[in-house]
This record gives sequence, C-alpha cells and structure tokens, in this order.
Amino acid sequence: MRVFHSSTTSVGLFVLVLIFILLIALIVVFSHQILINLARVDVQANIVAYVVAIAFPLILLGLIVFQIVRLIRDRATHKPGSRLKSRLIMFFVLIALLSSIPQALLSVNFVNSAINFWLEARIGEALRGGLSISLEYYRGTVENLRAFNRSSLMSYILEDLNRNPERLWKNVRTVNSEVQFIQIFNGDGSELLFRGEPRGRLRSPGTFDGRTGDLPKEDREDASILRNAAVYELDGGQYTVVVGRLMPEGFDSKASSLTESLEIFSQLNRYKRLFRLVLIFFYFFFSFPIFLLSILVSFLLTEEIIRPIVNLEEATRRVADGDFSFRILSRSADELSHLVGSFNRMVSELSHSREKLRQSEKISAWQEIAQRLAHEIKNPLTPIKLSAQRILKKYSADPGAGEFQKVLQASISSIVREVDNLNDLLVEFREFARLPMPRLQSVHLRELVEEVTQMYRNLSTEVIIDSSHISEDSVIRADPGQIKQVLANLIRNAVQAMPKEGEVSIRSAVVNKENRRFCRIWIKDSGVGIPEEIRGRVFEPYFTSKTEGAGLGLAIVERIIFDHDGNIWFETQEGVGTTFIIDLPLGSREGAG
Amino acid sequence: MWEGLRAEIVFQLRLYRRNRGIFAFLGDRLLSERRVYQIASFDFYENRYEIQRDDRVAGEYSAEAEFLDAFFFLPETELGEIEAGGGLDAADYYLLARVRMMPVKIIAPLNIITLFSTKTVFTTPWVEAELKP
Repeated sequence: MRVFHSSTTSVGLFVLVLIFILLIALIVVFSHQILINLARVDVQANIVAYVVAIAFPLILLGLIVFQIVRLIRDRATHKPGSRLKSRLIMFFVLIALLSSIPQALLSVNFVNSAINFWLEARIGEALRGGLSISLEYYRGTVENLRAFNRSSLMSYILEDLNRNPERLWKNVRTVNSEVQFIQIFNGDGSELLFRGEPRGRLRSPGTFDGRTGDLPKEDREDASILRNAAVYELDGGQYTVVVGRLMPEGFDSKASSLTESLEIFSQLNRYKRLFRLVLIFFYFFFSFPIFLLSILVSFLLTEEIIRPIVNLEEATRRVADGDFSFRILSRSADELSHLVGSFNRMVSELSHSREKLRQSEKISAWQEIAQRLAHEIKNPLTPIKLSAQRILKKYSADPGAGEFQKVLQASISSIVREVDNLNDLLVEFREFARLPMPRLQSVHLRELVEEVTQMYRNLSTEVIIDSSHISEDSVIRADPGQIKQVLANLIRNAVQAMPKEGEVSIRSAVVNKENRRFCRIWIKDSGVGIPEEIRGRVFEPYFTSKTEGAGLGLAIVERIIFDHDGNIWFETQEGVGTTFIIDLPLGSREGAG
Repeated sequence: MWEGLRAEIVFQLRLYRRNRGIFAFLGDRLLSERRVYQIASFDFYENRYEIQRDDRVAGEYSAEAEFLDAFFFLPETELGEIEAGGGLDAADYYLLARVRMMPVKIIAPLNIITLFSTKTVFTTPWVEAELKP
C-alpha cells in the first residue's frame, strides 16, 4: 500500500498567499477610491468596499473557527500530530501578534505625531499670514489703481489726449509706474486710445457695462488683469478712462494653492480628534483581515509541516508491523522530502534484506536436506554398485547359466546405469549445496553472453539466438563463472521451451532503481510460456516441469543473482513466450577485463 | 468660510409612478432621479460669496443674506418627462425630495469621517410632494 502525500494543502496555501497578495494590492491601489466611495452616502457604495470591509473578514473568521474546531476534535481523538500542530499554530499566532502589536502601536503613534505635526499652530499661522500678505498685495494694487484714476493729476494728464497721446502715456508711467496700460473710450463707447501691455486691452466699454470703479478681475490662462474705470469730462466731451495692470505670473495659482491649503488645514484642525480615531480605525480595518489571513496561512503551513511527519509516523508503525510495501510519496523538494526519501530507501533495503534472509534461510534448509540426502543416498550406492559388478563378474566367468545370464546381465547393467544417474544427481546436489560466494569483478556483459550463446548456436540451427542488442560497454559487477552459469541455464531453458524453431533474444539497458543504477538483462523466448499454476514455484528447488534434471537450475540461478545483490523475475504468457529479467549492479568500465 | 472652508448642499429629487392594483406590493416605480450639488465659498480677494453648481460658478454675492437665500434655494431643475395619456394622470405620480447639507465640505479622503460623526452631515427626511396637473 502506498500513501500519497496530498497536494491539497499546498494548493490551499498557494490560493491563500495569492489572496493575501491580491488584498494588499487592492488596498494599495484602491484604498483612496474605497475611502472616497465609503464616504459618499448619497451613492451606492462600491461592492469592493463591502467585500473588503465585511464579507472577507467574516469568511476568514469562519474558516479560522472551522480550523480551530477541527484541531480541538483531533486533539480529543488523539489524532497523530494534533498536539504538535496545536503547538506550532500557537507559535505562529504568537509570532503574528508579536510582529503586529508593535507595528500597530508604531502606526498609531505615527498617525498621532503626523496629525500633531501638521496641525501645529505655526503652520496655521504661516498659512494665514501668507493669505494675508497676498490679500494685502492684491488690495494694495486695487487701491493704487483706484486712487490714481480718481486723482486730480489724471485730469491734468488727460489734457494731452488730443494734443499729444504719447506724452499722455509717458506722464501716466512717470506718475504711477504700477499702471501697465491705459485705455480711453469716448461717450459712444468707441476706443480713442490704448497704450501699454496689449493683453490688458478691452474690446469696448460694453465689456464692463459702463460700470466705473474697480472692475471684476479678469482671469485668463496666461494672466490675471486688474482694472479701474473712471469717467472724465474734458472739452465738453465725456470719456471713460480705464487703467490697469497684470498680476505677477503665477499669482493666481499660488493664491489658489494657499486657499486650498488653508481649507485642508482648517478641516483637519476642526475635526482633528475625529480624524485621529478614524485613521486608527482604518488602520485596523485594513490590517485585521491581513492578520486573520496570516493566522489561516499558519494553519495551512502547519498542516504542510505536520503531514510528512504524521505520514512518517504511520509508515514507521506499519513497517514495524511487518508491512514492507508501505511507501510515502512527497512532491516537494525540501528537507522533509529528503527524510521521506531516506525512509523509503531504508524500508526498501529492509525489505530487500528480509527477502534475502528468507531466501538464504530457504537455501540453507535445502542445502541441509540436499547434503543429508546426498549422504544418505551416497552411502548405500557404492556397495550396491560394487555388489552388482561383482555378481556380474562371477556369472560372466561361468556362462552355463544360459537365459538367466542374459537377464542378470541386463538387470545389473540397468542397476549400474541407474546408480550412475543417481551419482550425477548427487553431484548436482552437492553443487547446489556448496555454491561458493561470488568473486566479484567488473566484466563486460557482452563477452559473457557471446561465450554462452556461441555454444547454443552450435547445438541448434533451428533456434535463432539474437544478442545484438547488448551494448558493448555494458559492464556489470559479477563473478564471470557464476553469471555464465546463470545465462547458460536460462538460455538452455529458453531453447528447450521452443520444441521446433523460434528465437531467443537477449538485450540489456541501464536502469535507475531506488537511487541505484543497475544493468537490466532481458532473455526472451518465443516458446510455450509458463502455465499459470506453476508460475509461483518456478524458482523452488527440486521443482521441474521437465522429464529430466533435478529441478535445481532456476533455484541455483536465483541464488547466484541474490548473491550478486541483484534481482530476477519473469514475465510470461502462454503460447507467446517467456522473458526472464535480471538486474545486476553496474561495474566500472576502467576495471572491466 | 472665513477660514477658507466651503459648504455643500445636495438636493436629491426622485420622481415615482404609483403602482396600483394587484402589483402594488412590488412598490412604486422610480422614473428618474436627480441630484443638484451646490458648493459655497468665500472669495477673499473679491470679498464676496460664490456658489458653484456642476463645477461652474452659478452666482457671486456681496451681501450675506442674498447669498444664503441663493444657497438654500433649489434652482429650476428638469427631472424628466411624464408620459401623457394611457389612463394616467398627475395623481399617479409623486415626488420625493430630501436635502443633505455639509456645513463644512470635507475633501476626500478626509470625508471618511462623515461615516463616524453625525455632526458633519445633516440630512433631512424624504418629503413627498404631489404633482399638480
């Protein structure tokens, strides 16, 4: 059975972090707009504002409550990892609180300081002073134009209107240098004279509806113009005299800024206590969901940390109970994942060792039986054979026995032949029982295969043996003699599985298995396949489906492969063929002979 | 206003058609709505009051009483046209109106305080008026 390390938590964590970032982005980008919309009571509030303000924190609170309830239930049922989980969550919450409390205190303090700083009396005085200066300048200019246009000097200057207009303008500038233009209309509204700054020129007295005194300030994009109009009677005629000046560049915009600043200052000053409370409220309004989000993230993060530990704990328990097939899969690539990997390797090696031990025990048992059997059979065989030979010799020396001699000769020959067969069997037993430990060295697989297949190619022309798919640089770490025995056994079996004609193909490849590299060898025949009922006993000693042999061939093969720290198994299909697959450790090319 | 502050008044008007008969429970139908914003300020340079409507200067006043009359007065406003005929008459329509007044117009985002204080905005209840034929 395998435990899959679920990625649900990782996805949840990813989604939460995404929401977290989105929320911060939302606050940064739209907070100004949200605040404006919230305050506009006469319009529908922005839906985003509602989500941020009410729904989102409520959802987060709901999720946190759900997680807390689940944790309490887990602790009550003593679920593995629940105690560690609750401690970790407490730790994370504590960290979140420890980091947010000073931040909140600092922010509140900063808001207070900022408000106090901006509402300092000096700033208010400076703003009012600035406004007062600008007003003074403005009113001074207006007063100056008014006084000049009403003065008796003006009547005197106007005497040059018809005689010498240039002298009139020169005199105006001499008497009052602040006047930048003069414009004179006669009684019917037609212009008689204009001198000075061209931008100050009025098209007709209709522009000011014949008003006199201070004319409304004219605001243009490039300038503001102040004018004063007065009516004079001269030589029986009536004239309207307009004098004026352009305000310095930027005066208007600066005056507007000053007024706006004073407005903001006055607002802040008037509602400063309320502002302070509101700003603090909004600090918590935006930071509370983030705080909740961080708690929720801590739940998922804890789950992420706990899960592999809980899995490991469960896996250890299962392995201790004898289930060596248990594995943990981890998709992450952190230290915990490495721990999981190490655990899996350890279980795999334990399983392998256990299998090897079991095999060794089995082999030892069979070795003991084989030795005892060999001993028990060997002892009476020699006297049987000697006795039979002696009887045959005596009766051969006295040939008068006739027909009896014939029968006796045939029988004793048969006894001797069968004793020889039994002897061969005993040799095989001994070989199995005394199989030496392999002397490992790096060898080229191709050379071993070629050596063995050559022999079988000579024996049979009907069966094709194809070993062309073995790479020339496939090097294994093995005892050449024993591996040749393995190959010979398997190839012989393959040839025998094909009564008439067929093909045996041998190929190899390098494979990775449990962080180790092996040379995998496939020996495939197109024979009759292995019947299902005997598949489980193929490697058992003294089991054979053939009429000859002791049934030790594949048992010896399996033992040799195990002694080489390798693996052997087969895949078969009746009527199609069988493939024996062997994994052997790779050797080094440098050491290969 | 002498401190550079501005005041705002909003006239909110809604024209409804009465739903009679079996569909009365659905409520009356809102035909049109209009808000008229008026912002008052004092021009220190010209020494006069100024009323802005729809971001344009709607009036300038030297006398305080004249200015107050203009500020609290809803100018002629078109609210929409009523369908003639179809068995409907003036009695089938009515008008709801209310006024929201901010003695100190607070600029955004400082206007958020209006949510927390009842002294910054004064809103009248909705007043119903029948239409005259």
